[in-house]
Amino acid sequence: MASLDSATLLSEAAFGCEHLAAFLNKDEKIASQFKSAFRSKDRSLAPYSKTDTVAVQTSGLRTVESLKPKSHCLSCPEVCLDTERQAHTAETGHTFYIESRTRFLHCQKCGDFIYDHGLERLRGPAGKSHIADGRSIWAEDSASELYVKNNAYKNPCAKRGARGVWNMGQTCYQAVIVQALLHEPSLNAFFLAGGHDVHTCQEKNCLACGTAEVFMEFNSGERNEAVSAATLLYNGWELSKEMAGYRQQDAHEYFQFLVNGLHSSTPGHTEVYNKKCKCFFHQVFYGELRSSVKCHKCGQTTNTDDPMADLSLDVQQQSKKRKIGRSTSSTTGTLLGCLDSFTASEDLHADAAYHCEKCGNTPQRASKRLQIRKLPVILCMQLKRYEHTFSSSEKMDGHIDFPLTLNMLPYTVRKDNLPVDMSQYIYDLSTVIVHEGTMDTGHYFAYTRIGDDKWVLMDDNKVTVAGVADVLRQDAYLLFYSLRSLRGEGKTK
Amino acid sequence: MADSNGGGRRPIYPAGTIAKVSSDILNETFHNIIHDLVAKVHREEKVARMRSAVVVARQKAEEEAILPEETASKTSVDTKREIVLDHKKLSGMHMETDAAVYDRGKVFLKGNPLQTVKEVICPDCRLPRLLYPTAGASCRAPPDADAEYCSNRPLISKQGHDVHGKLYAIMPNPKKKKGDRDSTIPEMPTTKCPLCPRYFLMTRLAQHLDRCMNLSGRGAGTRNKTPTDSGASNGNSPTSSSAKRAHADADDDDGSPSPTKKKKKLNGPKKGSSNKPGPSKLKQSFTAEDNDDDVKSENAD
Repeated sequence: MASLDSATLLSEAAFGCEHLAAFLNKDEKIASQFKSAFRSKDRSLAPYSKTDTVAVQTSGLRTVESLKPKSHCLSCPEVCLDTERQAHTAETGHTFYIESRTRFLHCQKCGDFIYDHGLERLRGPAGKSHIADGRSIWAEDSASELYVKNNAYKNPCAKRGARGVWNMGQTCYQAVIVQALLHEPSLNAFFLAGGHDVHTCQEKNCLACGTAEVFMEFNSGERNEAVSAATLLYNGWELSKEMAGYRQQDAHEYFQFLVNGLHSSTPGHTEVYNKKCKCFFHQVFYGELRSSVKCHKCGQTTNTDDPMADLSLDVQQQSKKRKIGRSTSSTTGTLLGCLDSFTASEDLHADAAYHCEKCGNTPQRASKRLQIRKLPVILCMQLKRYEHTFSSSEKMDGHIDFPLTLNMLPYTVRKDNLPVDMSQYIYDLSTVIVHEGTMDTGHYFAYTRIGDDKWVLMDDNKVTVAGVADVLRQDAYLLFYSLRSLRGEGKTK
Repeated sequence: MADSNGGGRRPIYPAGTIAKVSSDILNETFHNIIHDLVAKVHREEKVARMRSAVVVARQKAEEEAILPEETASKTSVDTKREIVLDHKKLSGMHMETDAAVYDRGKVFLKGNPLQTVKEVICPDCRLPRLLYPTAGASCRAPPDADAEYCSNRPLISKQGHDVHGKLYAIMPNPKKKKGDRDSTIPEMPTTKCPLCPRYFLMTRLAQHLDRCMNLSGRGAGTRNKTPTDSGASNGNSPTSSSAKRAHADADDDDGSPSPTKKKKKLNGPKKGSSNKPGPSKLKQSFTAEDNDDDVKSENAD
């Protein structure tokens, strides 16, 4: 799947600066050495991957290490601070450095950071293969990039993605979910590439057809007014009695309903429990949750894996903990805290009777733990903001801190001590859905990221600018995170 | 850099104390935060300028290589631009601009684009980009009023307007003739019911669909299901209250169509009409309105 980014090759300069051009064109051997040096330094500086921190000498209390960004010379193992760079270049003639925080290339002759398309592709998202056979892949790839560029349908320039979705009367639950999906690059690629053929689809009231229609309208031409999801609404109403009718719905339920519908309308999907589904929507939306039960007597662990389309996190537990004062010093709950308690192991009551097979099917005390076995590309998290008492249910307001970037590794089955590819676990916040009002009635609106770091507030058909700070201040109900690198996805497709 | 700036006022702690270590850590952390922010902006800006330099060089080279019309048939035709390029000439061409060198299909930079490039050019449409919004917060007038700019403009942040600088859509005012309407205020569009052939205002569709599909709980069985059962004549459809609420936020779509639930109004013209309730009149003009839009949107499709 060619990304839109790679289609910009033709607008890229051949080299980041004239000095780099001269250097790399001079000698093939030196150039390839340089490239591999760049690659290995770049990888060692990549965030989150486990590298050995520089050993700190412990002879007395002295300033031995600086936290400031360091420049790594690409021609020798020298590592120096910004201020020492000039001296190193004067001494050795080495011109190019990689900077440790941003991993940008610095050319001492320009006296500036330079951005070289060719080198940056070496660290590209499809990184796995480049160790084995790096050069050949990249050498050929520019030709295919050119091909994509020349044959791709170019969108007219417009504020992409900044279009509302009409509220057709109490359908804001639908509008926010549709917004969340409309801004997922992987779903856009799927629907715009004809992943679901509306014209040949035989299914009655097909949700994928309805969704495809919205995607196409959303991306069509230079228009910037709100789009209509009427067909999707109608199809949904026809399919489900629970969802139908002129009344308010829970956005989370609608999300699950829609994801299920999309999944089941895809040819080649399977819903057989034991068989792994390979269809697109399954890859995108469904992860796997492992629940493991450990018998306290014999220590045996039994694992059960179930597909999951989202995580429902208990907010209540957080606030309770806070009341007792057991929580870590922070005054507000955090998403990470919710995830921690979600994946924490809990004791099963003795009378709940877990029958351990190994202990002869006798009831034993045991502990249970939920962990994520497989992460989806689009990770939806619901903050359960209701408190159920015997007589009534109540909505809990209050802020839960959530990050822009989320590392999911600690909540997965894999152990921390194994070296893992961190890029598979880094998620970026894409949409925040907020519910305003009470348990029975209220309004949904969504904050969505468009482009790299612009945020807009999607209040039905109204699209307004929002700052990151506004977004993070919201009392979120649903959070959508998407996987930063789609590497695994690209391989399976 | 950072050291030299604040040197004078920064207290000096003796080496080896906790105070020294903590102040160092704090200082360097701030340094890094600022470093990252500046680096990000630097990258965005420089890459944009680099691309501009490349686009300009490429464009210039292509202009040189445009074939005179007579020989056009011999070479391949670039269908998108309807301009015939001499690809042979283009691939062998060498030319220079202030910021870049075009050499046999590749573009090399000349100097630092932050200095050599003055204008950011969109790589797709090859028009200059506006760097500031044209209205609302921190707006600036375009540098050249007559020039054409890339339509991917900065988002507009202005009270009562969306990111495109448009006013929010309002309920169409049935009192006004097409010609009289203020074209700067967008009106809510209508849409066809997925079931029956009638058209409805976007914000009323769910309510109608509920009826049209015969879903409504109360008396669902008895209600007339045919499309002739006019949604408009039923209870709380476009009465005066709805016209009032038109602009003001569909956001409280908690469904309660109670007339008391109006919000701030945006502009005068519809005020007059909403003061004269006369539901029957309104209804008539609404149907006329619907039909109008009916035709219009069919044509549009």
